[in-house]
Amino acid sequence: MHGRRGQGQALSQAAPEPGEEMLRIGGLEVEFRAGPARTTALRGVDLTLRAGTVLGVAGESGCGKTTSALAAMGLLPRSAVARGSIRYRGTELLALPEKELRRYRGRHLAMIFQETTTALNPVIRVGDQLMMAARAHGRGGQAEARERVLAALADVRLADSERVMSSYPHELSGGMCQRVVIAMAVSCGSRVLFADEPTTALDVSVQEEILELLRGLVTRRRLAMMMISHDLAVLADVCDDIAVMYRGEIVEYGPAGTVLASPAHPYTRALLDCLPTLRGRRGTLPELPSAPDDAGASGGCRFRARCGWAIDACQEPPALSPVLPGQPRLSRCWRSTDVLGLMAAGESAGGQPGDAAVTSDHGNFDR
Amino acid sequence: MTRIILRRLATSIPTVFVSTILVFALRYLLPGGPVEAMLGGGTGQYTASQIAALEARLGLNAPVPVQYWHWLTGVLHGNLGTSYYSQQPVSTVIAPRVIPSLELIVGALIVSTVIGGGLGMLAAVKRGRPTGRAIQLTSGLGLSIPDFWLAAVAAGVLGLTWNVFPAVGFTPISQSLGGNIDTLTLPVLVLSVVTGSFLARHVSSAMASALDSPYIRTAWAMGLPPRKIYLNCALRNAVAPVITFIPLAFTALVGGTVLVENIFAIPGLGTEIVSSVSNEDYPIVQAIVLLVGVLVAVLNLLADVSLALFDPRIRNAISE
Repeated sequence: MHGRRGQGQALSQAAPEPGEEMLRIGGLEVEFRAGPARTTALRGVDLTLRAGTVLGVAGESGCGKTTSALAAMGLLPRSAVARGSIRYRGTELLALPEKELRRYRGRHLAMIFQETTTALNPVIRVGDQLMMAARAHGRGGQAEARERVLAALADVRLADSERVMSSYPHELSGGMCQRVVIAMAVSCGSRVLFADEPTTALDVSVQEEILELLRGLVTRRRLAMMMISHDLAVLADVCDDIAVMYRGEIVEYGPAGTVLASPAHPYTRALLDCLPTLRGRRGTLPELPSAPDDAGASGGCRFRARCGWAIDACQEPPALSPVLPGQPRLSRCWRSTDVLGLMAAGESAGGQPGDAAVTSDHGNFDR
Repeated sequence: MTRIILRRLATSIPTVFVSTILVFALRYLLPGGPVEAMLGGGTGQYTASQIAALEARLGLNAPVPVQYWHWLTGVLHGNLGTSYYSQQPVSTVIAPRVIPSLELIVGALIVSTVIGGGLGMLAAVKRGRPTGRAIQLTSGLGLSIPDFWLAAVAAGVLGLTWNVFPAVGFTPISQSLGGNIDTLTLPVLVLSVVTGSFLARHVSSAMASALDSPYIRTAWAMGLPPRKIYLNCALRNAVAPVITFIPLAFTALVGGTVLVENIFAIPGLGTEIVSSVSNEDYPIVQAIVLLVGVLVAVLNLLADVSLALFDPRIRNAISE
């Protein structure tokens, strides 16, 4: 980017301090429009990504976890309208025109996806793809870009980089392809990485390796990472903090270990109950009669139709508020302390429908 | 790569061989027969011995497989036979007619690939927007316009009313390049409308599915510039359908030239085959059909080989 002035260049030179606030999403609302139809995907989401840390975002399909990341990347489909604020190291990304925003993608913010082998172009050699990405953000020429690519391949532990680079994607395994995509982001110099279900398509053994790799990169390169997954076990392994989303809202937020060991929102609890264990599934979510839509706009808590804890107070929408005064944990529930209390006390949730088998043995989530 | 070509040849050669049998069978499948055609006015007025003499001269008294063998070995030695009608060697009759037809077909292929392919790409990039919709609409229109109507209108309006191009006639390239281009422009454009529209549709859907694929999303997420994404990443994946389309387009264009040459009075293979069919001049018809068949086989071969060149997955699948 010789001769191009602007914040992009100035920003990239300053390596972030550990814990530095890299990306702040504030009051983010996203609406999809198809003709006269309007679908709200996000209803005021606040999230902060810090250098050297991993924020896990959990929730079922359609809860808005991917939409949040795509909004920050500026990659929402054209039918989407985003409002609110997304600030990257002080720059308001939502206010940037596409042309400006493009300079941030890859170089400052990158995203990897669930697809592994198909995430790379099938008819171009891996090395050429890596070089194409590296050169798009290069300050130097071919040689400098190649150096960055080789360094990135070493960083993602891809031995025999010569062979990898001269291969086509179909000649590599899913895990290797995911490593190549991660290397691509690293070689471009990204400081913020959105990982959308990065291990869902992989074997369990490879999953572990990729998670370890990502965690290592976060520490070594001081990346600020958002790890999106529906799988709480995956998040438990790598995240510092966790945000649980439900129908476009954050319903619970806090340090990963605490949230998973003693959830303060009935939805988080229900998700944990859905985790398979060696003893088989402990329970399942009751099915919602209606599709996730704007039905909840009639007021009140959006989870109450599925919630075994619902009381009359739930007719009023609860706010995302501290569970206990002075703690960083947030929950969007009128009965947070009740939910928390039960879990902490290790009592069975007797009398609650579908909860009979729930016990508090979630201690295996401690990192 | 050599292995791929050899493997592919192994299937092309039998195809061509079978097509020679079909071409040869033509003369037995059509009503009448060579003798009747040559003598004209019905065989009733000739004696049996006269007919037998003619059959002997044409080699028609031999068993059919033997006749086929004679014809095939002749073809392989470049001897396509003698025209029943003009009594000249077939090659002498059709050779000057090959050039105008090839000019038409190759010209139409180039025009429809460049314009149709380009518009198809644009339609995919701009899909859902006015430009994209306009291109889809135009190509739909182009597909549904009958070419005989278009040819007549083009010759009438552009040729006669506005005098932009000569309405009919043909100037060989050997006489004048300018005149040649002048006389070929209208027929080439008419031929290109259908093929070009078809190709635009084809490229647009191939390009659209490439643009929707995960690897393109990765490319956006890594901040590649749009020019690279469209031309370097997506287009490479949209090339395959174009390559497979070219032999198909060629076959369609051969049919198109018959019509267009007759409307624009161009002395090509299209006009020749029409007159030869009505004259029951089988050796000429056979030679033209065979020529087209061989060309299609060769084009298919080239298409498959270039596909393998473009897509490493195909290359692997074939050479394994």
